[in-house]
Amino acid sequence: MTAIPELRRCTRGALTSVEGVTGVGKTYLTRHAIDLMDTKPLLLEEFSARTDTQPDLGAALLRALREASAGDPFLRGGTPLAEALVLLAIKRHDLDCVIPELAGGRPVLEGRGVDSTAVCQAVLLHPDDPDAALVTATALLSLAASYRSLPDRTILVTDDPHRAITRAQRRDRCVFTAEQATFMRSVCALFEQVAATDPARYRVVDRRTLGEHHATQLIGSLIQNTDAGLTCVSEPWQGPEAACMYCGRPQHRALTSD
Amino acid sequence: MIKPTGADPLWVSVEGINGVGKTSAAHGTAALLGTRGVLLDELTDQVNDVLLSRVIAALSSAGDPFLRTGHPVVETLALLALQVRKSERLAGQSLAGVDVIIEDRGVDSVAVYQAAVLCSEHPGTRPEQVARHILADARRWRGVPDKTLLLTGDPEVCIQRFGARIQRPLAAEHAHLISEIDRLYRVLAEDDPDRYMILDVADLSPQESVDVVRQSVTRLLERRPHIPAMRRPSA
Repeated sequence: MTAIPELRRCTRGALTSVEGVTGVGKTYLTRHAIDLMDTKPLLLEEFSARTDTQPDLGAALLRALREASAGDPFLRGGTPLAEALVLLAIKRHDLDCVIPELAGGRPVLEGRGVDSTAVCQAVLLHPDDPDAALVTATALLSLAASYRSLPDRTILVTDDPHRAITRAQRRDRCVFTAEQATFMRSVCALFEQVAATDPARYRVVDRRTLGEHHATQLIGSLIQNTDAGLTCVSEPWQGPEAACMYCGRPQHRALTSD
Repeated sequence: MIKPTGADPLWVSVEGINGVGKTSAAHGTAALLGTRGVLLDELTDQVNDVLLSRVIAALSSAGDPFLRTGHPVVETLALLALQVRKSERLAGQSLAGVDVIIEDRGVDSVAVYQAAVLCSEHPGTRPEQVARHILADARRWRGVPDKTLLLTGDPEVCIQRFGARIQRPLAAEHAHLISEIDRLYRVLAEDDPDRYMILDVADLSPQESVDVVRQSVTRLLERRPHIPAMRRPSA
């Protein structure tokens, strides 16, 4: 009989991402949920909420995408796979910036993580083929996971796409083109499909069945309960025997908590 | 994904450490091939592509000759992105009448340089393993060239030549990194002898290096029906 090694319990903070199509209420609900918490997680802003004035590498890469996409709201610059990889590079930079916080035990909440990149770019690559988009989205997540550990928990906020589009248009004071609305509907559907492939990581908050108050409560409870039983994590590109990237302890033949 | 057709040109990348003479050889060979050849410039030379030039500017902001920013995994993904972009842009162009694409540095450069950089910042990790990991991802998402010409020379001479070109002396740490990159290139060449062709240009003048590369490309074109196309991504 082969012994299956168990991962060692770690003192790190939990990394939670909140995902969903634009207009679904991610930021609004999450901020309300955080307001109700005594110990607040560190918040990593999503791309659309960032300014162009930050001096770091992540901001410079985002500026590069914005300039190359000539103002497109979805950062489309004609080379969707290359843009997917630049977005994954930015998400890795985000993680680099919060490693000290996570290592110190503080939870981090990421507004849109690698799942958004995988889903949106997969739809761009296969706009008329949902099956191919699902395969590509999971492949992009696998690529992301080989350079950056995935979140411990991903909260997918979802809703009827028409309601999300209406909400986003009201918020941004714009009218999406038919092509943009179609893209958002495809993204909404693909998010739900991707979530179903990884039920251990994903939790779905469905606004079709939950009112605002209950959705806020559920998001808060999911964020607060993510840190139970966290294990050590090594840099994926270093191989399974590398030391934990947060607590520094060796992973080789780690068996139990201590 | 990038899916060339069976009638695509032969894709030949020219690789090697800084200062070995790749760019002169690639440019000289492409010039001699005329309309039969298309040259894909090194990433750092593509100033007209907005995304590419802005990303390279971001990676160069600290002034390091190896584009190091203190975020080596970010650099790796960004450089892979730019290699993918070259292919995505090329896929949209008509290549009728083109027999060969000459690429001045391709995915192998990203694999060996970033493996050396990542492992210099994370001692204890095996650089060969990391280079293969990066190359496997490049193969999956962008494909690899049909043939890779690895130019080799005396590392000390190459380091001096590179220092003269960037107009500053290289530190011992830079020289060590270049030696490690040279070693990793040879590891990848041993891994894949059907794709790699090693050309020793140590004692050759720049013009002689161009001649060697051009002759190699010409011979490859003559043997083209027997060279398997390597660059198809698997999905």
